[in-house]
Amino acid sequence: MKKYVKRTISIICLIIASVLFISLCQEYVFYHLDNNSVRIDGFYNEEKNSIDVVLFGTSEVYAGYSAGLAYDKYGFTSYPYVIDGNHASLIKSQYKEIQRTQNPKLVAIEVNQFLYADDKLLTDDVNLRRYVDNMPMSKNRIETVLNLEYDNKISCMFPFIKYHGNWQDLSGMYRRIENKLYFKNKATLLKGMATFTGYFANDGNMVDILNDKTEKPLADLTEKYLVDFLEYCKSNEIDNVVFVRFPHRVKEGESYDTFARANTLSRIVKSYGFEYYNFDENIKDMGLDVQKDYYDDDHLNIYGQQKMTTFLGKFFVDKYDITKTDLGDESAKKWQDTVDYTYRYFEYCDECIKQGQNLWPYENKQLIEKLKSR
Amino acid sequence: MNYTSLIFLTFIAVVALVYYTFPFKSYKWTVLLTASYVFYFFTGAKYAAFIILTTVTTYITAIILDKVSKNAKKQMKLNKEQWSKEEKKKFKKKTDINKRLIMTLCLVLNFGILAFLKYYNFFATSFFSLPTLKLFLPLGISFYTFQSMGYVVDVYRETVPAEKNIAKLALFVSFFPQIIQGPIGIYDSLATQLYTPHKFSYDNLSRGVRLMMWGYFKKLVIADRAVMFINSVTDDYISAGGGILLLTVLMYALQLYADFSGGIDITRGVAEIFGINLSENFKRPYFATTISDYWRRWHISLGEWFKSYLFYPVAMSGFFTKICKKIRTSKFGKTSAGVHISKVLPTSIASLVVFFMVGVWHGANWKYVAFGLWNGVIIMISTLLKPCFDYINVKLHIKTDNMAFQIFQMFRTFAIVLVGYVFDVAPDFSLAVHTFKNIFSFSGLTAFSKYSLSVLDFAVLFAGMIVIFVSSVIQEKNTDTDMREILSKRPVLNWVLMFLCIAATLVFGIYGPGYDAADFVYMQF
Repeated sequence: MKKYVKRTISIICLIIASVLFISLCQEYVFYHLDNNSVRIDGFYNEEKNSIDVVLFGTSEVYAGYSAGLAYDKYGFTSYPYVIDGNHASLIKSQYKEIQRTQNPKLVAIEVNQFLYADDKLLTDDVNLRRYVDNMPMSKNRIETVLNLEYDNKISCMFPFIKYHGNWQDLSGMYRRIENKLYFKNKATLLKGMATFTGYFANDGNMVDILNDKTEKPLADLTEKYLVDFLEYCKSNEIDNVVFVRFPHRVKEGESYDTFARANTLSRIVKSYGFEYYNFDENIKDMGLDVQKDYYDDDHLNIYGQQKMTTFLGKFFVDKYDITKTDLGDESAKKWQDTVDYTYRYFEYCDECIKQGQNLWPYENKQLIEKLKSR
Repeated sequence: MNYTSLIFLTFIAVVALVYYTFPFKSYKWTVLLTASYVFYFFTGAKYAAFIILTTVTTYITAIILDKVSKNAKKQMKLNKEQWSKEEKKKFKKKTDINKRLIMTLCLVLNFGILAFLKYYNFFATSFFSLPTLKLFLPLGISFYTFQSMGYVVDVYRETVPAEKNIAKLALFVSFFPQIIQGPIGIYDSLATQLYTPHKFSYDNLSRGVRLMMWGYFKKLVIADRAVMFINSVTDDYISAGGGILLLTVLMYALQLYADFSGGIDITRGVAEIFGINLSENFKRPYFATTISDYWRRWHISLGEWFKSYLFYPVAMSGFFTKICKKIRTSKFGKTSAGVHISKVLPTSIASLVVFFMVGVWHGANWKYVAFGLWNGVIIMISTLLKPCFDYINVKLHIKTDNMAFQIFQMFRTFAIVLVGYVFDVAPDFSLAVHTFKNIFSFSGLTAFSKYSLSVLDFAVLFAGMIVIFVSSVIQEKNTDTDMREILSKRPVLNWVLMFLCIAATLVFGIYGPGYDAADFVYMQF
């Protein structure tokens, strides 16, 4: 009997040790650290049901919107739950995901993920993983992974399988552990904001798109996922969703085609009773300078970000009656810290731009330490 | 179904669960048979026709041989009094001819299929100007053909009775853990184990799982890492300098051993979970002191197969018996050299024949023929010249039983083995020759950084090599005792090592998206 007891205990200890080892490695060491992981991880550290507006979309959103600035100007809380290269197939999952910890008054969906020329990103594991790898384990995560148009689903369920090779990057390993420990159970200060302090030349003339209703078809599977999401919203009586398009420099060629696809999307979305606002048409209203306020044709820099946030925040307040949030003292203090660090971030990026430095500053321990010392 | 896939591990777990809960104890073997065919069909249903053909022809041949033998015995018994000695001898010879004919038909058919699929294109382009065909090699064809033909020969020799149940024979031919890369089983030792219902045993499960873990460590951490370097060199073989080529051959020695022995450990581990002990296929081959010793430690089951079914028939054939008799009765035969030659000539020539076939077995390429002949020639020369080497040792007062000499022998043998590996790793024969030229011209390390292994990867390889070396030394010193037996006496160390093995494989293993999972080397045979 004693032999069986010893044996059972030994097996259990081995299993526990192995599971613990894998879990700790997956959590702290073998994951991909970038602005997307910080942003998505950071969402779950926000106080439950404290976010008034959640934004979905791609890089246009984190580059063009500052939750800290919006809170400072209008008093409502918001969070950009966005990833680079987001895809239409993930929107429904993302909507369900944010409902697990938040109950926003408004969900603003930037539509870029519906406007790609083809469905290639659907199977691009780099982009899909930016979302899936950072979701906490839940029923929604399991469903999302099983529904991915991607073969190696088991590595999406257990990112360790994909990233275990990271052990070779020893300094990167240190940074990953450091950042995980730094952000453990702590809400992010910059609320997922990120930008590029360089500049890609503005070549070509912009097209006048005012009142242009030209349409181009959406990619097949993308349209399918869009309609699926709209049907989901309709059948669940979801009415707090609005579709928006952040301002771009629309030119001849691909960017015009994207604009035309946005017109198609507008028609589809409106046919389901949802609203769509294309802020490509409001560049002048925002006071955006197409030379100075963009770092490339699709993304605003921090100057443009501030103008866009001011405009969009007012839009939310006026159009959707997003009122000032009544936060408790502790939460209010945290958001005030966010405001403080947001302005420090603006100053820092301004200096980098003026010095001609090409950086991608996003929230991590080193950046916060830098901003703290300003 | 790759051995290193999660599907395979799930498959094993399911099969084990079904096997041990199967209510009809005496038919438990049917679970293994079903699992074997499911495994085989996973690789492609079209390949299954070949293994079924081999199974059916093997079964029919064995039954006929068995019947002919039994009938002959019956006839002999019946006519024991009536027949003269001459008549009995004549009848026996006739029976033997008939049996041999039946056996040969089966061997020609099955080896013929193997030869055609494996060698047609090689012969078509090397010797004749024939068009090449798009041929495929069914999974494990070399292994199951050798295994089943060995059984046919055993039935012919009457060392085993024919299996009356075709389904049981099908299990012997197709047993899934060994189908990919052996070991080649002998019917006598394997069949009973397959058909006997085994009860669940924690010890079997524990031993099997530990052996599998060790196999996965060798395969995923060492073999698949080393092959990344080897492939990056062979992709641009011509531009690699001598130093790089030498390093490649050394890496190949490590990779081949880790890959093949790792795969065999997984195979044996899986079988052990079901209470089946497959024969060992490796016994620290790089500790061999002679080439003959090396081949008694490397791919042991292939060596045993060739020994039983080719070496002895050739060495003990009438042809060699006559030649040796002629030598012994000649003037030369009276000398000490003559006496020695008359004793060892059959085995020397038989070794050459065997290793020629070993080379051919490895693949349809002149480089494999060269590989086989290299080993065969070394063994032949060392056998024939043994008295000379013994004489030199005596004259030079070399103590052949001391450690220093044995270490010298190990290094010498390893160097000879490496020469054979040059033929293996080079894409073809001419590039193998180019490799020797480059290595011995000391043409430097070339741009080392262009080959796809980082310094840390080399560190892992080195550490892995040390681990294998240490465990090999322990086993060698403990005269073949299984490491698992040694560790079972140290339970804390045992569990710690198991955890470290799991952790090392998970962290350092070459698997997952972004890596091209390397097939087991011997799967191609």
